[in-house]
Amino acid sequence: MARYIGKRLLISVITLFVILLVLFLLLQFMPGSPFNDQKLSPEQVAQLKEKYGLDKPVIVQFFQYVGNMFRGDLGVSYALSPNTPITDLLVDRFPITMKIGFFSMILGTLAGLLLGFLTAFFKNKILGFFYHVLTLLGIAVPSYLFAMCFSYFLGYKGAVFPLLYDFRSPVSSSVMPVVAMSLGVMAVIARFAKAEASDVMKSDYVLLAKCQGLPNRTIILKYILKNSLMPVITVMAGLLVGLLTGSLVIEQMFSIPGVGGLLTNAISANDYSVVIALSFVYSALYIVVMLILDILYCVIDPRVRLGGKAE
Amino acid sequence: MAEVTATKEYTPQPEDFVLAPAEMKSSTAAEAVGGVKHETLKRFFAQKSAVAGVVILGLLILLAIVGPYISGHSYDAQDLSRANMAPRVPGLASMGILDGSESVPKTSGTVTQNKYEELGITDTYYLFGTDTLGRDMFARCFMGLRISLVIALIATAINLIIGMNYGIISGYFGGMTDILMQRTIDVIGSIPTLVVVTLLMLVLEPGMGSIIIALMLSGWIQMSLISRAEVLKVKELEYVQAARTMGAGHFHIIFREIVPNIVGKLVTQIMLSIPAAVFLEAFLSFVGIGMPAGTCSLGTLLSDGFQNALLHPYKLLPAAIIMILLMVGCHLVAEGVKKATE
Amino acid sequence: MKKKLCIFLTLLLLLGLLSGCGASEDLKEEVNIALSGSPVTIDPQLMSDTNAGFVGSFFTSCLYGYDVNKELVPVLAESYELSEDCLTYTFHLKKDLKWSDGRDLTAADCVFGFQRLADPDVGSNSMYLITDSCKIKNADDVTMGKIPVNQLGVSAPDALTFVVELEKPCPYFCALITMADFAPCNVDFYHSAGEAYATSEDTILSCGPYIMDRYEPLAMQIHFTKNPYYVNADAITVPGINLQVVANAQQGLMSYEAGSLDLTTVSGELTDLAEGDPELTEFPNASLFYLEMNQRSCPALQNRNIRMALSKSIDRDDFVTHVLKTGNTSVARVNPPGFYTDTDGSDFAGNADQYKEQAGYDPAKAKELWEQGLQEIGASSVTLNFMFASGNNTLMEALKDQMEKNLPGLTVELRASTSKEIMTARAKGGYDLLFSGWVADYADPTAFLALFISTGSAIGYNNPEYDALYEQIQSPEVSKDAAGRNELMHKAEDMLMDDAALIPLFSKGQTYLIRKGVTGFQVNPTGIGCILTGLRKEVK
Repeated sequence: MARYIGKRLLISVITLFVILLVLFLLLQFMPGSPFNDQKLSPEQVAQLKEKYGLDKPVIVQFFQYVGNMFRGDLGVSYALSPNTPITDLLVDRFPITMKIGFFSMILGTLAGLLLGFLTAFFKNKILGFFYHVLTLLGIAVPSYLFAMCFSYFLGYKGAVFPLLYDFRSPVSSSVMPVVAMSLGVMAVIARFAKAEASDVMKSDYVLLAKCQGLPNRTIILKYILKNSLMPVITVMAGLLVGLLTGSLVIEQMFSIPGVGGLLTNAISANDYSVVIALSFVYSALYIVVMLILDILYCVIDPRVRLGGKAE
Repeated sequence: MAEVTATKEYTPQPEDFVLAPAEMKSSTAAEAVGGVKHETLKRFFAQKSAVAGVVILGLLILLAIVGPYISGHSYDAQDLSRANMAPRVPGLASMGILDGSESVPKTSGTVTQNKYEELGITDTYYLFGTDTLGRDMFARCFMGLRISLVIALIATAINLIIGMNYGIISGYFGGMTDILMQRTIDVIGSIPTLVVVTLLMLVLEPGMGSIIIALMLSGWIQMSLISRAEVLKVKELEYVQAARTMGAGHFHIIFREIVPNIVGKLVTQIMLSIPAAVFLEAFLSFVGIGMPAGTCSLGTLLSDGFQNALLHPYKLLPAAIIMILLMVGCHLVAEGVKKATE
Repeated sequence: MKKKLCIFLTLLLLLGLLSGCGASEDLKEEVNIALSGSPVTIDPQLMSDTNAGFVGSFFTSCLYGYDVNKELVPVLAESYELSEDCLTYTFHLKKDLKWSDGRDLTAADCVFGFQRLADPDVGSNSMYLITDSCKIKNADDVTMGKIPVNQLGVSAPDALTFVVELEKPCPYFCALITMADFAPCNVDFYHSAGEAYATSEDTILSCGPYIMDRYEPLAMQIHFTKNPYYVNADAITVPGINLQVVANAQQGLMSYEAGSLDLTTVSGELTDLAEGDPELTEFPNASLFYLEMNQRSCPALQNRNIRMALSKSIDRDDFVTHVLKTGNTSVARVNPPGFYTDTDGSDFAGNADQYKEQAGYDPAKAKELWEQGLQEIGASSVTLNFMFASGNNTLMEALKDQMEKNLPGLTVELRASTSKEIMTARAKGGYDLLFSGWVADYADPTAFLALFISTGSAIGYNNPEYDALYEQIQSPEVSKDAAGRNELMHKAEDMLMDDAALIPLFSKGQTYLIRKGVTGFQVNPTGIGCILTGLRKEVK
């Protein structure tokens, strides 16, 4: 097991390194410079370059860059908020995005599990139809369209929830964005849950358990749920980063002061340093999540532990 | 307790053998697949949802080809005086439905207005209304669909070619090649697509080509994994080894034995890639780094319509519905293929 | 176990929902204002975008300001004296002025504020205010780093006296220094805050009507409470202000309708929704949006007939009515209407058709001039690269269509760009046509005329005759003669229009929806910043 984890860890680190290399190279080729060239004289620019270490050879700069990133110095914003360290910009925004993403995930997963498992257990035609429509819509309709509908009916027509994120009432102003994003999650999870549950229900050991006379409830809890859970967790991890990036439009809609909003603004303002820093943060997050997932996989599923990674 | 009948001894006679006709080829997996193909198609069309999916997709493709021409208005002719008009459909208009009137939720109260009557042009029909610059929405929506589909199809085709070849080479040759190629996939796959796409779009000029390149970045990975898995399975089978001993080249083996088996899974993957491509393109246009200003694609239509959905919902609805139908169609077909090839 | 989990989660959700409902009484008295974007900075001396200017009005005040009737009145100053040669202003500060943390506000703080604006290490983008808009003694040398900042022509002989020395008379000086960039800055506080100055509510002091109590860089929400130390604190009755940055205009409008916002701007398409609404208020802006033409590197644009043809091929009223909507006026001259009064009391730019021949819409004449121009430059077709800031796409598409439709042989290539790219292009000339906008910093036509001198921002235009005329307008003798000065400014505008130096398009005002019950909101004459002393909110 330690060997397996070690291997995954090594790959993760290498991946991170490669990403940083790509980002660093992009930063070099981006047009424009961090300094307000128009207003500064060549001597002043040279002075500033020396101060930031931009006059050293590229290789040295790269290692400096890597070191900085890992130490938490993500660089400085060029255009959005000149000379503000990006870490400062993220410190307040990150928790908000995480909070909203996290709750969407939880809500979506719970709803999805419920829908999926129920549809698998009770072969009800109406339920089945409901399931089909909901999951299809959840996958086909982008979350921002849902958000628009909610905004219209629950925010505008009936003033149930605030339409813009307000720090004075953070919870009620997060409800609509969270629910809108959870629908996509719900759809995907429901499909997986139903597929897995159906598979498990058809399997031999469940049949055996039934023959042995175990009550349905025990079967469900002990076998079906546990065995369906692993694939669901895998899917969740993939969805997590999708959520974080997919929340870009939602954050813009509700004016949520989160990372997505910052990324959108940075893209419009062509603030490359912010875009690159955020890319690094997202990538690192994704890799860490995948790593944790692999470790979890290894711990939970004995087949993995014994036989190497289940391809 | 059934009686076990003893097997009788039988000696083959000369009359039992017939000379094989010249056209009969050696039995290969491909021939076996020929029969399977019919089976699969039969199973596919037996599913109602899959048929529905095919119908939806067929309709959309048809409209993407002829749509921009049948409404009688061009998709890019501006006429500022006819900006933001509601849909007016011939036939239904006389019944009072979709006759160009819209209720605008003004801040001072809802107001019903009919721009066609105001301008005195009640005999012109814009099936989906017009946009901010007076361009016909019907033609634009289907032109947008066409462009989005073209982007998605080209990107998917490229992904298919790259992915299939990568996976087959990786699995077939095995050993160090395989390990290296798979590790590379690990690394590339770990990079969140959106991040790389965003960065790429900042460097490249916005346009169809750039979006296709962006879609190519990691879309091929799934295809390569499927191909490789199949290759590994088939590599060790007897008939492949037999074919090898008989002197069949690598190419022959790959394309006759392996490809037909993965067609099903690949088709499913293709059907899922198309919506993903359209989604990504729509998303990029939303954030502002998609198709350049002035072109129309589903993404730009959605993002333009989104801004004023409250005022003129018809600018958002047709494009949204078309995109949703496209997604639904692709998913239904993908599901159908998956079930049919299991 | 699962049951307990379910119950727990339900309770959590319920708790969450409940906690959001029921705003406290205090919140009801606050005024919620929508902002279209986050201010880039809240450091007064670094302010150069309109959002920053707006936010600045809440927590800064200067020597002079505007009252509810848009009249220039002393705020921190009590009075001033002007020397005979019109070059020295001596301001007398009011007694007992204090900062928001209780410390005294003295003339030394005013000096430091001006010095920071001139300091090349601070690097303000608004340095032009003291080197071009007016010329403070030694400002040129100080801003270029040639001499130390303490040599700038500002001084504080005692705690209540602030002296400014100019190199040229400036008839509009008091109006100019109402901008937040001229706000005082406390030396001790600034040094104690160090690098973190103006990055949060704790690292900035207020001398204006409100104190900032919630801010972080690029904040989406900025909150203010009343400043008890404000010099006119009695006039301020609204206890708190909540500024909400609205990223999606439509959502903002819905939020206003739902009651969460009291004041919001409407622009573009959404103005249709507010048409006819009694809550809709228009505030004019001294702004001009126009197309710059690169005469330096584009041969076609060096031909006057071609330039004039382009100008005359555009139907301004058409796109103003259909694309830009309420709050915008088409302008076919250099100075926008409604912000400066001429000698005879009429509007300096009141005659909208004054330059009908040079810039009025006339497709036939445009085509004639175009063909003449093509012949003169010996070409049969021209391709022009049209650069603009991304986000204005609809308007640009309309302009392109109009120009191409009326001028056969013309191809316009649209290029949506970022502000950085535009800045670079401006300096290096990487464009043929450039969509620009300018909001006057002070109410005087020179605010717009200055754009076209050869050292101004419009690098494409270079006319020594015009430069000479502009110098004359700024000269001391002319400064003292109001009537003569106005005449010369008319002459300057004539020259620019005859020469087709620019393609003027429109002027943009600000349209606000203000909830019934919120009264007294006023905007500065130039349109940047607002006046808060009259703001009142009725609480039901």
